[in-house]
Amino acid sequence: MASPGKSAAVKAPEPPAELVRESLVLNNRSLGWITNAIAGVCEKPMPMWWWPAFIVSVGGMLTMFSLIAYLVSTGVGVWGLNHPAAWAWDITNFVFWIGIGHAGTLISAVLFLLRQKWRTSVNRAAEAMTIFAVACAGIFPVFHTGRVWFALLPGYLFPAPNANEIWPQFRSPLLWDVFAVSTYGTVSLLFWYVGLIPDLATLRDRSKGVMRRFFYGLFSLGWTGSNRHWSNYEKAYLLLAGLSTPLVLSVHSIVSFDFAVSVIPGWHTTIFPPYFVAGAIFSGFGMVLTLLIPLRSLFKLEDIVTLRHVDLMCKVLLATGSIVGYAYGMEFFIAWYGGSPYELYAFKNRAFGPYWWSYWAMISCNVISPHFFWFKKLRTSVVFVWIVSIFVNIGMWFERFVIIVTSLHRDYLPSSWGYFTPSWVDIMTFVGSFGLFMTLFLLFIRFLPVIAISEVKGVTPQADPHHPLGGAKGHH
Amino acid sequence: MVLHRDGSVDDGRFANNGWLQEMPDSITKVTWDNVVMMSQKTAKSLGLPTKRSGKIPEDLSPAEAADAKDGQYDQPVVKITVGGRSVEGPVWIQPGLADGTVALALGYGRRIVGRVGRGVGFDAYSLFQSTSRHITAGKVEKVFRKHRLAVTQEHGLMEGRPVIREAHLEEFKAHPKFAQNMDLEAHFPGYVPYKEETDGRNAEKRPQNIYEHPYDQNPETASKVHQWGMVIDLQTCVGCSACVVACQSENNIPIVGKDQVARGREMHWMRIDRYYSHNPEVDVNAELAAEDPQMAIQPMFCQHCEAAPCESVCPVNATVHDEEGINGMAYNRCIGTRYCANNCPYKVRRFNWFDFNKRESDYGAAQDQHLVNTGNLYKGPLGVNRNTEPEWEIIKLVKNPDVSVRMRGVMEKCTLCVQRVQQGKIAQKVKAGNSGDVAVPDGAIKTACQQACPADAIVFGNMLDAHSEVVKAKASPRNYSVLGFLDTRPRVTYLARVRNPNPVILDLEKRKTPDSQRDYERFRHESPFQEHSHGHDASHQSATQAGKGAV
Amino acid sequence: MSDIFPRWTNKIPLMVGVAAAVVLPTVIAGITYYFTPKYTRVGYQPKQPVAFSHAIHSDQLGIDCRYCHSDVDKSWFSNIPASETCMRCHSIVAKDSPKLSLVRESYSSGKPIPWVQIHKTPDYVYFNHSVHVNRGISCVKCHGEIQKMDEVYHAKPLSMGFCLECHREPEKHIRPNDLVTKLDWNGEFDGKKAVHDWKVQPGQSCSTCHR
Repeated sequence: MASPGKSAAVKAPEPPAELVRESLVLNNRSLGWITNAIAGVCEKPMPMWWWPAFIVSVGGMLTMFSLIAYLVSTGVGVWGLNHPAAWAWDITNFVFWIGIGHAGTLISAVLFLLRQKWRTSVNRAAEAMTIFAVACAGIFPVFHTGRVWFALLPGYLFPAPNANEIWPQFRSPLLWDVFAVSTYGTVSLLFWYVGLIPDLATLRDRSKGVMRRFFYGLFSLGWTGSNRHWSNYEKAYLLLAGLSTPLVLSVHSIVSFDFAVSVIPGWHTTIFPPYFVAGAIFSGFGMVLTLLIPLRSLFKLEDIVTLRHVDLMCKVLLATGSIVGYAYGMEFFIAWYGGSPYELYAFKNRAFGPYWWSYWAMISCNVISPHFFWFKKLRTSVVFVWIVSIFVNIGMWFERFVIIVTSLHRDYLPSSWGYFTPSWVDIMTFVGSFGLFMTLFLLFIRFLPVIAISEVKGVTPQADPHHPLGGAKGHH
Repeated sequence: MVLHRDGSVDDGRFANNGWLQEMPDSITKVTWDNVVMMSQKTAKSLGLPTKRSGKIPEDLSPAEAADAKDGQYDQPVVKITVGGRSVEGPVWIQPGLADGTVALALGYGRRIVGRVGRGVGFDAYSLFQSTSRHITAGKVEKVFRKHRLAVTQEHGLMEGRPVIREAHLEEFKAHPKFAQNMDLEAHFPGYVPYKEETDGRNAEKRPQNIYEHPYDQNPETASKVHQWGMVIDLQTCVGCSACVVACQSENNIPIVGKDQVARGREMHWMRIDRYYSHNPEVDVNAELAAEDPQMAIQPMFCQHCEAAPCESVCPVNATVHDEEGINGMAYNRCIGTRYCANNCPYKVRRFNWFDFNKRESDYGAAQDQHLVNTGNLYKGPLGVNRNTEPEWEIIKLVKNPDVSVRMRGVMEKCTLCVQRVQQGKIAQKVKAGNSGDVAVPDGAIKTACQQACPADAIVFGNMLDAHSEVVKAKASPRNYSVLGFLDTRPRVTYLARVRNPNPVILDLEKRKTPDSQRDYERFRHESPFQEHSHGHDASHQSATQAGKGAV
Repeated sequence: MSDIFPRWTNKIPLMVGVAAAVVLPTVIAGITYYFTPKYTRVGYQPKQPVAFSHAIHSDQLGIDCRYCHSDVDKSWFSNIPASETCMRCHSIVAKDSPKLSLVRESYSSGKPIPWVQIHKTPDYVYFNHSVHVNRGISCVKCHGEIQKMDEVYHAKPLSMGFCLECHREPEKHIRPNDLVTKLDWNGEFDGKKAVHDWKVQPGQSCSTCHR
């Protein structure tokens, strides 16, 4: 502060130039533009390709439902399972779908706590993907049981007081799964829904038809955008993010316990929890990219889901893929170092036994493909990234298949060694689960904002009142 | 050409007996068919592929060549002609069969027989002529088609794993406890000899476990009156499979039909495992040695582990350990997640993939020699139910009323004939009345398999009864548990086999140690006839080199 | 902001929450009470073809249970007597009573009386009468006070929990062996000593009854 006596003003030093970050929304889009671009997806009529895609997906979904009905009415034998491989595609599909779900929760919750602003363009779609993946996943453990009607009855898997004075067995990892997956599904749904509320309100306020206004109004729970509402929202969001974060790690660890807790060679290793969690995030990000890359092009959202976002997600793929590759190597090393001939045989069998083709598919898709992402050029080439993301998911399906089937079909006693071949019911049920997933996702695109409008707007420079472009000053 | 009476259907009189048709042959483990057995060399000379790929791997021993390819036995068919008559049949590589000899079982391929037997197998009787009868000369030609066989065991080698433990008589005399000195439980320093003076549970080496055994944690849960145990004497077991069928009849185990057996879904609670072993080092002519393998058999069924891996993973408590050591199964509680079957290291659990008891099986009456697969099991509620069959009342009478008949979706396994155990205990308690004389005397309870065994190889009884047969058997130095290093503590243990072949038929200079023992030594680089030091030292020698006065 | 919904809809979440908090436990309690054997089985009192009264025969006349249910201490099944057993007395007593006409008809024709079974465990439960009756468990423990019943009704739930209550604490339910059929006995008995001396170890694991 200049002293009153001095006549010359003291020049305050210039603040340093602001660090230029790559913008999260390209082309200096205004807040209004963002809202229009995203809300427009569900307000305008769906593009031509949506209807055939929806019909095909619904067809797949109905196929799956009818095959499930066939399974429940006739018996688990319609699948290709036998002795010794009593689990194969059913649990592979379960772990596959549940693993995919973890990416959404990581993006929504973990990256939120880590204050990664780039998550805002992808979290809505990723979290939707999680919920639909959990829905697909939940079907498999329920219907793979031999007597589903008892499995769902309270008292068997769900603890309830009963006249038999018997409780479920809490030492079993399958029961932990019941709690883990149901908790995960519930919390994810809540988190996704809470995040949706401001966007639903936006849609409500823009909507023209009576039906739309009613439903968006109903589900936006009377949101007014007042300070109090925003304050409550932020608190709820933070709480749910905090609740979801440990779930990212715990749920797939518990799923890995389905195997790690057993005695079978190839299953009984302590590396499974971190290995599975890393693999889940790996496959989940793969699926997010598979869904978002076409989505951004088809709905002209490239300015919001930018190449930077794709680049960052590829880096996550690289990191988690490396962890998965490390885990493969470490499993093998410990099998050799530990000296158990049974364990060592299990790994030799994976690579050179009757299922060698699935093992090498897994290795090439999971270990080799992420390492293309050391190169920025490849990380930002969307076509290449999309193709690799497909391979990542194929590889991760094979990983679960390899773990389950190669360990089961040849374990301790050579007399019980067998071979598993999937039946058409196995295959079509799995294909049908994609039908269910895509049906739900297509409906999501149709009716709900695929990107978190309020959150993206919140990370643009315009949203910052102290920014030259922000607050009431900046407008296009 | 040898035409022999079959081990299950005999000369054909039992061809309509489903149990016997589905009983795996003692050596080949083939069900529902008879096979043209020949040695690998004979097959090669006929130009037959021994694997589905059509190529005969040069370095494959007959035992390895006899394995399934990708889980299936799609065998090439040959035509055998004797004296103008011919029969077609699928080829079976039988290790150990003399070269130039072909064997086919009689009793199959009947055309005029009940619904079960019609069209099963190939009729060898046309070759059975009054002038030549059982042993004759014939011609074998290839026929260009394949026949799928339903075989219960796909892999016939022990892979160096000491599942069946054998030694020569002299080796046994020098090291009576050799069977307890094998596999990982002998090798690691953490394994300590079990206290033999306690309640009679397995009296061999056991690992020091950081987890307390359930019976030690809660001693009041274990019955002080009965603790059931069983011993199988591998010395006397001949592999006849009478126990398998006895168990099936006692426990209402359904037959599943040829198609389901081919898919690996047979329901037998007991199986007789048959392993070949050969030692290529034995002779300069390795091929010759490989063609003279030794065979070992082992009945395998639920081992009733005290620390059962199946029990801790069942989410609904359907399989629990009772107070007397039997691992029991409550079918009405089971929801069929099959985790228990996956976690069983012995793979003895059987799942009801379909309503095998309620629905008619997949086979249908055939007009000619070929079984017709109706796929009835796959039709589910749209298929044919057994209770619509005219013989339904008789079928019901076949069932043992003391054992549940299981529906689809539940897991089952050997229960040590718990219904007989309960009946024995009840009879004793009724007799005891208001006294404490509730211990069942030894021999009063016989499990079905024990009752049927012609060689008395199975001994079952109360391990708390110091004078019982089972305690005496478990005290034998030959007593060992399969996969004992897993610390499952099975109640079912085995007595290792001791071979004492006549030197006239076997060159004792080169093949004294049984081949499976040599296989074990070759794979694991250690020998039970040598003391294992605590801690791994690199100088493990095989018994062939250990003439150095090793203990 | 347009008013799509009336003001009272603001209270809906609260109402849903309260309803859930009230309705859900009520439903669970209801199911636990109404859908278990305690409600569904207890009190079942079907009409029998012959109006046989245990109160008269068992209590008033003092006939021992085993006179008619003769195999209860020998087999798993407690048999309903053959008409011949009834006729041993009723060929003289009330020999022309119309209430007993079905019994006489059955005795002469050999056709069994169509008694309606009241106590039946499911097929997957293997219950054995003889071991209970011979080891100090009285009929009243599971069948209630039969001696007071004119028409027999299902007195106890006979659910698995009911069986476990006794199997877990046999000393509370055991009595001297010779008093098993003395249905109105109410005396003192040292159950713990009996359990110890007789080595009563009723199984609590599944294979006790399920096989």
